[in-house]
Amino acid sequence: MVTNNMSTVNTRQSLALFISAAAALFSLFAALSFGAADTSLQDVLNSFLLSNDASFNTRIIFELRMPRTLLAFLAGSGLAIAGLILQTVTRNPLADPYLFGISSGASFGVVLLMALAGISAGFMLSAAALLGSLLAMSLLILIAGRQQSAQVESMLLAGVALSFLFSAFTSLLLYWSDPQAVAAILFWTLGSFARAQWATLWLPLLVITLCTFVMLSFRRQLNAMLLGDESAITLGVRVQRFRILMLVLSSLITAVLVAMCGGIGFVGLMVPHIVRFFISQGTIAGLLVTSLVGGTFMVWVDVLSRSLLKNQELPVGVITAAIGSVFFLSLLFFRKRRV
Amino acid sequence: MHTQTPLNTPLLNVKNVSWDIGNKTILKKINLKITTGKFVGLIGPNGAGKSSLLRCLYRFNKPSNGVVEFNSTDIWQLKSDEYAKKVAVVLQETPSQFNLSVFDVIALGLTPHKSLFSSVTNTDKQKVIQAINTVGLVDHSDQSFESLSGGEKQRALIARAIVQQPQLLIMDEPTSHLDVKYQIQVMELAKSLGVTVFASFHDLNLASAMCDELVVIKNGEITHSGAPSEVLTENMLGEVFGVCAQVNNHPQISKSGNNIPHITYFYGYK
Repeated sequence: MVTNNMSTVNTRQSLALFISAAAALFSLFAALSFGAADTSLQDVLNSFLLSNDASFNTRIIFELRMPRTLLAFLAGSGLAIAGLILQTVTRNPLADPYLFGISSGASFGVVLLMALAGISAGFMLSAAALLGSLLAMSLLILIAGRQQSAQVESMLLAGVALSFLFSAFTSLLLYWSDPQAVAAILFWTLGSFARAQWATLWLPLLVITLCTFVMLSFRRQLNAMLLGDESAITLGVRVQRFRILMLVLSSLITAVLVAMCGGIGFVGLMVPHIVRFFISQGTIAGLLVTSLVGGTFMVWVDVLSRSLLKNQELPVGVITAAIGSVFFLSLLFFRKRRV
Repeated sequence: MHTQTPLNTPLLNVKNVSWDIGNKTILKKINLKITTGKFVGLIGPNGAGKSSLLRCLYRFNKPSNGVVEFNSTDIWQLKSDEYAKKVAVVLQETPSQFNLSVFDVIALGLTPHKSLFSSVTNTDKQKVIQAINTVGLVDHSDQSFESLSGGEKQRALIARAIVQQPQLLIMDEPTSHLDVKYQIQVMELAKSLGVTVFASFHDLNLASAMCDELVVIKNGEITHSGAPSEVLTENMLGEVFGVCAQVNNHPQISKSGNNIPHITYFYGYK
């Protein structure tokens, strides 16, 4: 009887994993055919199959769209998994990578660079964003890491406070900046994958793969955290240290992504909740499905951002928030209570 | 449950343990021994330090003074997962709004036994399934943990403890908010496991019926300990709990053939 139940659970998990993996692969492929230049799925297929094809379309697909689509996928899956991990270790359903001041730190870094050096594009900007978010992360860990009791509360409060602190500095700098810089920074905060290049793609790939791998290997400890710190201690988890480790990993993911694509909110908050509606998060499948769904979602958001308006790109952050919140609200409204 | 300890050395030995928070002393020089195979109950009024004492035993609180020894080793000298292989804990209901299935929660008992990169083997699965059978949650294993009733949740947590394969099971008022039927069911389930148990009780009559030994704590000090028939006296109930009561024998006798003291409370006294 139990074995029967178990096999239905396993089937459900494997099915979810299979569907999301298939959807992810299809999306990565299909997304390459959308964009300003008119290309069809056939063109995409051709550029993959014909190795010596040096047509204009092939170059668009390989040099512009592919790194961009891959970056979108990485960003979506990275943010989704970071959100899931943070929600788990803080047991707070509202936790998300941006709640902890990481992105405000990044914005601060970017604005500071623009204000001081007048640079408004390029690699330096990403570096400044990365430094800014690492600064925010270090401050957060310095504060939360010292707490022996009530660590979750101090982590959340310190995160929110840091976020406001960095926003205040950012606003102050913007107040003194010229309108052009203000427009540039606004576009940057709303997020875009337009800066994706093959040359820089290795960094998010490396960070996200490594962090995800570590998180997967700690899945039992993560589940143990869900039933409370006390219960986790009785299962042999060193709660304080573990929580800091997970915070560092999710902050690293967020920092790298914010540096490369700007602020893309809501994915980290929403995708884990959506997946949780359907399957138990307590398994490898649950974690993988979360990251695949996040990636797939972001790939299509990027497609929309490229193709909704003619000759113009919509900021990714606007679309994620708009689609995401409507979808999320309807899911809340229509969901059946799980028995 | 696994290794045989010599009968003369206690499984758990609490030596002169004090614990304070801020300037306030919660536990004062507690001395306590728990022998292998016994079912020991901890009773005392609210705020007496029951939970604080148990927390010192499962390493949530580090004693300010004194040592807790498990099999003659200081528990703070052990690695956290090593200790979790020997001691399992069932707490009062822990709310969680996350979607973990009952199976996942019970499988958490494997945590201290598994290394980071290992996967769940068939033997592990069998262990979990067996524990689910033992606590009678067969029909609920793929439900979400949140959807269980209070009694079922406690049984699931006991199943988790079974999977942990401990030598000692610590329970902190595991039945305090359950209906009578489930109070009895959960405690009898714990007793049937054949493992050494140290549990705090809210219901003194339930403690009397279940325990081989009782320990009474008041204001952070142990005032009485011994067999239920020695401990549960009208004097003790007046002194420690501040109630007026009569102690008779329960119509049933225990499995070991001893009388079970039964308390009848009187009302209108202060």
